[in-house]
Amino acid sequence: MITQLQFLVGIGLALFSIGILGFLVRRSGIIALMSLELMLNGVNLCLVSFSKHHGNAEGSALVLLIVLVAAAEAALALSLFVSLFRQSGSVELDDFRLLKG
Amino acid sequence: MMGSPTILQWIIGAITLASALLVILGRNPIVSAISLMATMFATGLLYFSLGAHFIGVVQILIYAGAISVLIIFIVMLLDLRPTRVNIPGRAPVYVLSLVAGATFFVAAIFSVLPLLRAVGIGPLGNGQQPEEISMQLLSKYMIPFQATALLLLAAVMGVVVLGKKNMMSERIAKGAKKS
Repeated sequence: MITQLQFLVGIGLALFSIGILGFLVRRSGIIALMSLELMLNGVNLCLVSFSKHHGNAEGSALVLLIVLVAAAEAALALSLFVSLFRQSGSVELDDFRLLKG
Repeated sequence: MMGSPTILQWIIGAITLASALLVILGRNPIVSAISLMATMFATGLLYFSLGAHFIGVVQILIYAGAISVLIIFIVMLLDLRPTRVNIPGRAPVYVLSLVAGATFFVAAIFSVLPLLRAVGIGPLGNGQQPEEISMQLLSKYMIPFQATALLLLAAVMGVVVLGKKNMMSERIAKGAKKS
């Protein structure tokens, strides 16, 4: 029988893994951004579970900061994609190999 | 943290993982965006079931409310087509990605979860009330908290700059067409 903590951390790790998989497999920039948000969600879930488990609020404070940073990052990334789409009609990451990576 | 997960938590957890899988498996970006919203909501419900009400509210307000709506708005604005499938030469990348993701998941699960079993039952402190979180934010984590204000300001300025025409973006696009 698993405990509640194990259950929640397992879900957080699964979310993180799904995020990694999506980031590596999908070539659309917007889907990559969504995978990033999934990874952040998994980390947040782990942090809140541990914070609850230990009975202090530091993990939750960190989660609040992460949410703020994620909001700023999403706004910036989306405006990048909008200007890329306006100039070249695509947000596929493979179309933007400027540095020949 | 007491006992085993409740039936409700199993159900919400299954919804979370299913909608997260739909995010990365959906061919249509709109499907992905709406599944992302469902994932955010389900994660917020998990926070509620855990007793972390404040974080749950923040999750639903900011993630499910603001960020998901922004993503859906942009996907509809850009009118993205369903993505290409079966690009030749990409099969090894898929296989390697799958192996990498699965390896990470299995390694993490098998290394972390047994450790957590030994931790046992934690103290009964609550630690999730808004006043406790704000005490942390306004005393110990004052500097990072104020740094996020600077970060948000920088993000706003960056978005304004990127939103203008004939700037950075045009130069980038020219380079993309040339290559």
